[in-house]
Order: sequence, then C-alpha cells, then structure tokens
Amino acid sequence: MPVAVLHASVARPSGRLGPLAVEAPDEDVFTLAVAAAEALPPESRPVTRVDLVGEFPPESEWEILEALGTPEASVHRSPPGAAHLLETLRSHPDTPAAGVRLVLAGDVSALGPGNRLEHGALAVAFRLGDGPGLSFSSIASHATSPATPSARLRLPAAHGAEPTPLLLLGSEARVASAARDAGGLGYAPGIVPHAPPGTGPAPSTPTAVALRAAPPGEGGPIEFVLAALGADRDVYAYGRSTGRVAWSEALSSATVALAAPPVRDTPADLDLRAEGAYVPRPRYVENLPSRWRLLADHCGACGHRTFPSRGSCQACGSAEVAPEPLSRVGWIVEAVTTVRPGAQPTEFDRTVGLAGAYSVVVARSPEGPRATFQVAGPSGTVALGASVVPVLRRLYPMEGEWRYGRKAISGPNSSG
Amino acid sequence: MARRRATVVGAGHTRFGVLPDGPRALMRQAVDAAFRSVDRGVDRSRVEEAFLGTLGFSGWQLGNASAALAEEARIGHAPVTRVENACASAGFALRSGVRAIESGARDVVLVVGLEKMTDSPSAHRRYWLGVSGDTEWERLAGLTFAGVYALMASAHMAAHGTPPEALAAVAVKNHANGTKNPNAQFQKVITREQVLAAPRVADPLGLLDCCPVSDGAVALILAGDDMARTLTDTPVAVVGAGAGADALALQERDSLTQLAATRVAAAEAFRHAPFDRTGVQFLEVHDCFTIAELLALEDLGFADPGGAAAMTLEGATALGGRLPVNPDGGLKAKGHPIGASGASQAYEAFVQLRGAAGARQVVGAERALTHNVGGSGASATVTLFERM
Ligand SMILES: [Zn+2]
Repeated sequence: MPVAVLHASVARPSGRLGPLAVEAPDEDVFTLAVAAAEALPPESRPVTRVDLVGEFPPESEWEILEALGTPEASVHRSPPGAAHLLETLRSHPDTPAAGVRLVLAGDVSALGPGNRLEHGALAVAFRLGDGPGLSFSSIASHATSPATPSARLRLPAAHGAEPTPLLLLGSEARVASAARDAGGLGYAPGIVPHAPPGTGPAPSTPTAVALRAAPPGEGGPIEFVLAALGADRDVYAYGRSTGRVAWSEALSSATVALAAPPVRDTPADLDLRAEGAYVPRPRYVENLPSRWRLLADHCGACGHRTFPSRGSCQACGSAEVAPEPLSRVGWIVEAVTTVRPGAQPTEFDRTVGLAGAYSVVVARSPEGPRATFQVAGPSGTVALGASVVPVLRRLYPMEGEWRYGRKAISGPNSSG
Repeated sequence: MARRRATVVGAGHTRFGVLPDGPRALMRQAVDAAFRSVDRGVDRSRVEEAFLGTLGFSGWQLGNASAALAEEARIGHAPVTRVENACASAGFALRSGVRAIESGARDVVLVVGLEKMTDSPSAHRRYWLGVSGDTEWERLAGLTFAGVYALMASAHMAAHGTPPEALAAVAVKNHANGTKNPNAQFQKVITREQVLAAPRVADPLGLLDCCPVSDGAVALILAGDDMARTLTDTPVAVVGAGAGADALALQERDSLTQLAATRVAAAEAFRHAPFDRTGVQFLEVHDCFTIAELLALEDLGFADPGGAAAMTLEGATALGGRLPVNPDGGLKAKGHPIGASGASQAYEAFVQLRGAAGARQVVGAERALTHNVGGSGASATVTLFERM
C-alpha cells in the first residue's frame, strides 16, 4: 500500500494585526508546529520520523520529540519554502507499516521594507503512513516565474469526478495570484472565513481563499488539500488527492490585537537572566515531560495520579506507576488572578512590556491533578469555573534560549 | 514534675519601615534594646546559643549570616544557627530557641529576626519577592506572592462569597492599630473606600491589601521558667509551640482556601497548653495580604470556614472587640521585614501581656496567640504565650 497523507492540520497564531494572523509575543514557529501536530486526530501508531520544514530554532530537534512524546523518532530538517515542503511530502522514506511519519512546516510573519508586514504566520502538520489518504502521485511543482518561485498544481487530463475543494493559505497577494492560476484550470474562487464564527474578529480581507472545481463528472469523493506557506516569504503549494484526508485546524481563541508587527528576538533579548528563582537548564529539561506533555504518574496500586510526574505515587508511595499524559482539554479554573504591571517577577518584564497585565489560573484537569498556568493573550478573559486548554507557548528567555511551557487559553466549552 | 517551659524575659524591636540602617546596625539595635529590657539585667556571657531568622533578602550575606549576628550581639563564641523558612523564619527560630530551653539543653537563648529590604533597586526587589514561592510551576506561570494570595482570595470568594469589603476591613483595622504603634511603618488611618479604590496589584488584591517592603529587626531573650524570676518579675511563658508544613505550590494542596500548615501548627500548640481557644485574648496573625488574616482566623479555629469575613465586618477583631487581631498593626501596617515578622509578633505578645503596650493595650490581656506563615502556607508556626 502506498504511503499517503492520512491527516492534515493547520495552526494559526493568535495575534492579529489588521487582517493578518501573526504570531503573538509568546508564539513562534516551534509553538505553532506543536499546535498543528496536537490538532491532528488521535493515532495509535508510533511516530518514527519527523520532518521540520522551515526556520526552526536551534534546539528544535530534541524539543519537538519531547513535546510530541516520541523519543524514538528521527528528526530531519528542510529549508523553508513550499517547494521544500512538497519535496519533503513526496519523498517517501521507508516508513515501517507499524509507524507513521510527521511533516511539520511553519513560518513566522514576514516583515518587508520599513517593518511592513508582508504575510502572517502559519504552521501545518501532515501525518503520513499506510492507509487510505492523500497520495502525492499526481503532484507536480512548477515555478510561475523565477522572481516568485512557487509550487503549482498541474491537473491530469482526467482529473477526478467530484467537487474538489482547494485551500490556499498565504499572503493575500500570492493567494490571489494562485487563484488566478487555478482559475485558468477551471477552478472557481470562494472565500473561507479567517476563523470560525465567534472565535475572533472577522478580518476585512480574507487571508485564506478556497477554490472549488466545477464537478466534471461522477465518482467517489475526492478532496483536495492545498497549503500555501509564507515559507520562502511568499509562496504557496498545493497538491491533489486521490482519497480523503481528515483536515483540522488549531485555532487559538485568545486573540491578541497587536499594535505593531511581531517583535524579532535579538541576542540581548535571549540574554535576560533571572537572579532569584533561577531554573538551570538541566532542571528545566528534567521537568519537560510534565511541563509540556502534562505527564502524570498513574498509580497501579491506589489509582492516584501524581502530577508533576515524580516516578512514584504521592498518595501511597507505590513505585508501580504508569506515566500517562493528562488531557489537553477540559481543565476547569479553580482560582484566577490578573497580575498587574509591577507585580510580575522580572522574568516577565518583557511579557508585561509587550502585552500589559496577564492572568494566571490554577486549573484542575479532568483526571484530577491541578496545575498553574499563565493565560495566553489578553488578561481578564478567563473566569472561575471556565474550561481552559493548556497550549505550548514561550515563557521567558533564560541562559540564552527561550523557555517554553503550557499556558491556558479558553476552552471549547467555555462561556468566557 | 511539670515540663520545663521557656519564657520571654526581654525583647527589643527597631522601628519597621524604610530605614537608613544596614542589617548589622539593625541587629545591633534590636539586641541592645532586648538586653536593656531585662528588668534585673542579664549578662551577655549567659547567652548559650542564638537563632537567627532571616531570608537573606537581596543577597546580603546570603551564606553564614549567623556569624554577623554573633558579632553584633557580642555573645562571644556562643553558637548561632540561621533558620530560613521564608516569612516564617523567625517563627521557626523562636521555636528552635523554645525547644532548646524546654529540653534542658540551654538556660538562656537569644532569638533574632532580621530583614533589610528597601536598599535594593526595585527590579532587584522583584526578583527576591518571589524566591520563597514554588519556582518551577508558580514562578514560571508569572506569580509572585501577591499573585499566589490573590489566587487563594479568588477561590475563597467563590467558595464562601467573601466580599471585597471584608478584605478592605482588615486593612482599615490594621492601619488604625498601626497609628497606635510607634514602631509601625504606616501611621495613617485609611478608609474602606480608599482600599477598594486603590490600584490593583493582583486581582482581587489592590495596593492597600498588601503589606509593604520593610527593614527591621527584633530580638527576644528566652530563659527557662525555673530561673526567669531571677531576671524579671513579669516573664511571659511560651506555653505552646506548634508548627506545620505543606506543599510549596497551591496546585499540590488539598484546599485552595485553607492552609493545612496553620491548622496542624495550631493543633500542636494547643495540645499541651493550659488553655483552649476560648482562653486566648488576642491574636497576632500573619496578614501579609488582607486575605491571609481571614484565612488565619478560620484555620486557627476562631472562625468557621467562610466565617472570618462576617467576624471582621462586625468589628470583633478590632481593638476593643471580642477578639482583637493584630493590635500592633499587623504585617499590613506595622511592616513586614520578612525574617523579622515572627519575632515581632512575639515581641507584641511580650509587651501586651506585661501591660506595656501603651495606646494599643488589650485590656487585661494575659494569654495570646501568634501565627507566622512561610511563603503562601508552605510552613507555619503557632505560638501560645501566657503571663507567668
Ligand atoms: Zn498510589
């Protein structure tokens, strides 16, 4: 059976600048890629290989395996750009039948001359493996012009028999250009909302456009998935399916309105050091299974869940514990505060400087243990009793690198 | 034979506040005052051991601060042990001194609490104000103590309907008491409206719900009850010394609206005491934030869960009320030099039970309770005092 794309997902950042979805100060290509991967449907087969397409931070090889909880997988990097994404998707390494492969591609917002935003940020995740899904046998890539390299669909002569939705994601100008190209091939443009209703402000200009092929005949359902990244700063990519792919989106509901383009890190930013409450790198790394993957020890003797994980049961002391991640949804807020400027630890001076006050919650997981989370995005948006979702975000820089952890955003069942 | 008890025979207290003096000078002033206060005098050579409660705020002599006390107290080569349990450092230092005397190992012990906080730049202070909280979960979520107590306040309000006015009433009462204490940092009456309208620090706590950053030192001279009357006619006996501990982070605790460490400490303190809660005539409780005083009243067993708000609003805890709480102004108005506060509470018990508290005197007071909390409840001491 040919290896196919089984599932795909896209994660958009929570920041908004005009019509564009751009990364908030605590988001980057790593957090977006993790969000995209976590939006994929559940899968029981282990991940054996991860491809990172884009400008990922230096530590991303081990960090992505830690975040995904797939320590056995190998990690491979590709340069940014849709052409590289397509190439990576098409190159089918031998994936064991028992395993699956993840391709994670992402990019942060592109700043043009005069710090003007050219496109927003985005990440996509593809899960590949044996099974029914999207085959890339008919994908071709084509540069529309040497000045604007891009990947482009070449329709086969007899191309399927059903309505074929396409999704273009990318900068407005490039998507429009792609739409023109596709229009010449018989596709008709339509508009996909920027975000589902009620989850954020409606942009005045769409940054994503869907194209639907005129139904040329009859036959089984065929879906088309097309992803355009701003990866080589202004390109798109698309491909044709021969099956059905489950496509999901990870959307932050904590929308941050930004007054200025995203901040780019300088070496000085990463050189910030906390004097008190110091967390040396080995201590940070040691706690990542619980901090990132919410790993708890499930006691075989008494059933108690110990979080953060300690290797034995906090209730009865038994060493017969199984490491199990807590749910990533359905945490209920039991205490909440908003920390005002001046009351933050100095490590969060940058957070306060960029975003002002922030909220912090103690929330209880569906399994029982509690955790303390900063709330991502605007303060005062999460109330007692609300349902929250812990998402991976930047915390603060220490020892020359970004430290990441879970922050809370409003959950799907939250009234707030 | 009755168990040997420790007594307080002398006590010295610097002013609390923004002071020009450094940590060595503060210790020296407090210790000198303590020795002067011993009615019939006690030679420094009789001090067999000393305990120093201090956090080491701002990093001044973070290691081996004990030696600085040995020098400034001029107690020769008597051993000094530094005790660090955050804001409860002096409460635990006092308990160590009490145990040394109760065990018969020592006859005269010096206990000192110290903190110098206001000489650091504000950014440096903010580093230090959270160092005693849970670093790996609470601090990494962006919390210092105001935020942690604010989380407890939000949970307490949700569980019991505690109104913001009850928090404000704690601040108003303690500021009123502070005006009667010449050592207090704040000497100004405030109104409930001012507390509620003050800028927010960590919702629901505002600026006037929080204790200040303070300098200060307090010294206590302890002696065995079998020899106390050779030093003074009015020793104050320590008749209960309880302590407890809890998880560092709120997320690990059974309850977000109770401090188990306080409850355990109170139970231990009363276990062998000659009186129960009905015999206590006033309390010195750890009111680093207004919510903390309400939690203390409930955890110490003087109010039912959720009942401290009504008790405070009806004036029962005011000077002249049914059970005065923090007659010296509390941490809120008197100031909170972290490592000194537990000793300052004992100082207040000493002067009150000797009838020497002046304008803030609790009339006829013979029995008192002091309550000192470390961090957001990771440690606590409860000490019972009775005039001999
Ligand atoms: Zn167990």
